[in-house]
Amino acid sequence: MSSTATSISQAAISPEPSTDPAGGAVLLRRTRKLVTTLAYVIGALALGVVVWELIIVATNAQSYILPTPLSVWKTLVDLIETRTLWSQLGATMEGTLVGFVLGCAAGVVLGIAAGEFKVVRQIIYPYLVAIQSLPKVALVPVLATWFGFGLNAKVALVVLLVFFPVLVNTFQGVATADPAKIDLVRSLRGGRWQQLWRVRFFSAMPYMFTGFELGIVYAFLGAVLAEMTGSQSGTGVMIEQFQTNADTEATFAMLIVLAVAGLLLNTIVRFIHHKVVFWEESSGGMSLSTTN
Amino acid sequence: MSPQNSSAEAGVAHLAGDGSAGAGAGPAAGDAADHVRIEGLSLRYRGRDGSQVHALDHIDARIKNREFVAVLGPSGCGKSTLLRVLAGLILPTVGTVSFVGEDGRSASDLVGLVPQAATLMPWLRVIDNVMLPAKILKLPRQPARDKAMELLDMIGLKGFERRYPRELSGGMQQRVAIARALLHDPKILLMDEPFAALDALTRERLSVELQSVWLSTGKTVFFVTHSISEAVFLADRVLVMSRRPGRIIAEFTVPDARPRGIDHVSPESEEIAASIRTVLERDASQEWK
Repeated sequence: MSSTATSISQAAISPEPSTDPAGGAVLLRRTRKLVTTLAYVIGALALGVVVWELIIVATNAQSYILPTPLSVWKTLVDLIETRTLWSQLGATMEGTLVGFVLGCAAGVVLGIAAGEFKVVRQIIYPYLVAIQSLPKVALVPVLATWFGFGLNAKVALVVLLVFFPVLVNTFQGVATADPAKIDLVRSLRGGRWQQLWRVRFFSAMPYMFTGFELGIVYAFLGAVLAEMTGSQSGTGVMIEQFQTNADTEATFAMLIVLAVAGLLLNTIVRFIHHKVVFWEESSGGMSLSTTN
Repeated sequence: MSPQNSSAEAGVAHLAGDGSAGAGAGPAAGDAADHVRIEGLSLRYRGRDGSQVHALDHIDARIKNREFVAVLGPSGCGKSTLLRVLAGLILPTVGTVSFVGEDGRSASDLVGLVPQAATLMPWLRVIDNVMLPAKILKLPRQPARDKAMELLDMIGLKGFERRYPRELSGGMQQRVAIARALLHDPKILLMDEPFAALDALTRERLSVELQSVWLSTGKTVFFVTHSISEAVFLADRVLVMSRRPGRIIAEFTVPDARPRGIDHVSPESEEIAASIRTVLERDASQEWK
């Protein structure tokens, strides 16, 4: 019997990545797909620039209302060369990342606690509903009163924004773990901790990372927002100053900087998601909701 | 038993009245070779809509040491529920389940569970999936690892230790689940329609392999299925359950010698299969009365 079994196994092994000759073809197909996607992106951006120029021509807009793409580009290059951008961006990133990590940690811990203990769930729930429906920007003045205008206030806002999506997603993941897997652990007399550690935690990981992906977007948003509404340093402060000086070109340049930085942050979290939660069947691209 | 259909039915009527007697060679009940005794077991629970569900109704059954018992019935008859009671996952409303050792004394109720879907942990490699019981039961690591390798070899998955479940076919995953159920050396395997999700060919092949695993390990097996042919092929004894509330309405002993081949047929087994079908059809037809 063992010999038949082995031959079945060998037959079943064939759909293997990388080792079989089809691997090269797969790589080629992927590269081609990537190139096509990239071509579309570049095309779309070029189209955007053309439309932008056309609007300026059509409406005869002044440069303080709508600067030309070329002037924005020049200002951007200037900003990049003058170093101040980097230190300010560093300040924004510091607030974003510190707040993100703290918010994620708190969200995961409380999400698991809520999944495990009914008491925690019931205590958290009313606050969750209240704070979820509150526009968190309204908290900025209060946070400024408590934490001043430094890093702490920034981090506090970021934590508040990151915490809830991570908490909700983690809780959902813990609560929806496959009952058959739990039963398996129970049949081996695994108690609550075994169930949590052997099954629920790992089952929740795809959900946690969905929370992290949302969280990083909120974190960046929160950091810039905190800077714009009152802070000593950061890209948000720069935008505020440019805006005050009616330097629209620089403001636009900053928007581009923020867009690229945000995209970069998001891509990094996504990348880590796929590396860590390697067993996830399909992480449909819907995790980035448009709720901000 | 007679080969004619009509007299087979008559035999069934008798069995339905008296569930404790076997159809083939009448097994002696209650001797020291019992491994599991299920006595007066009933289970009611409140369903999601608040109505009472009567899942199991006065089940009495004995399973002997090293016996292969298949439980057969329509879907929703409570056969999986009975398995869950045996696994200690749910408590019966009334009645008892007792595990008896070969010395006649009360024995461990630790079981090896093979769920319907293979239910492997997708984040663990094959070897770690097989070793899961050792981790949960906190068994020494190295002996467990050796045992796991040995079991993987036995079920024909040598060389697949470092793979992840999603890299395996459904049949291979189910074999891993069987190896995992054997790791902590339970005396009894509880299998809940383990091959239901597999294609017919894989199913047949795994049935044969399960038979040889059973022959070489000497476990008692409690095997839930809704396939008559699977039950008759694998089991020493087939228990037939009714629609809800689940009762054992018939019991058949399959006398055929082991090992049975993949294309195994005998007049006896064919007749038993026909009788089981009759019992199930009669039970189903009562729904309309």
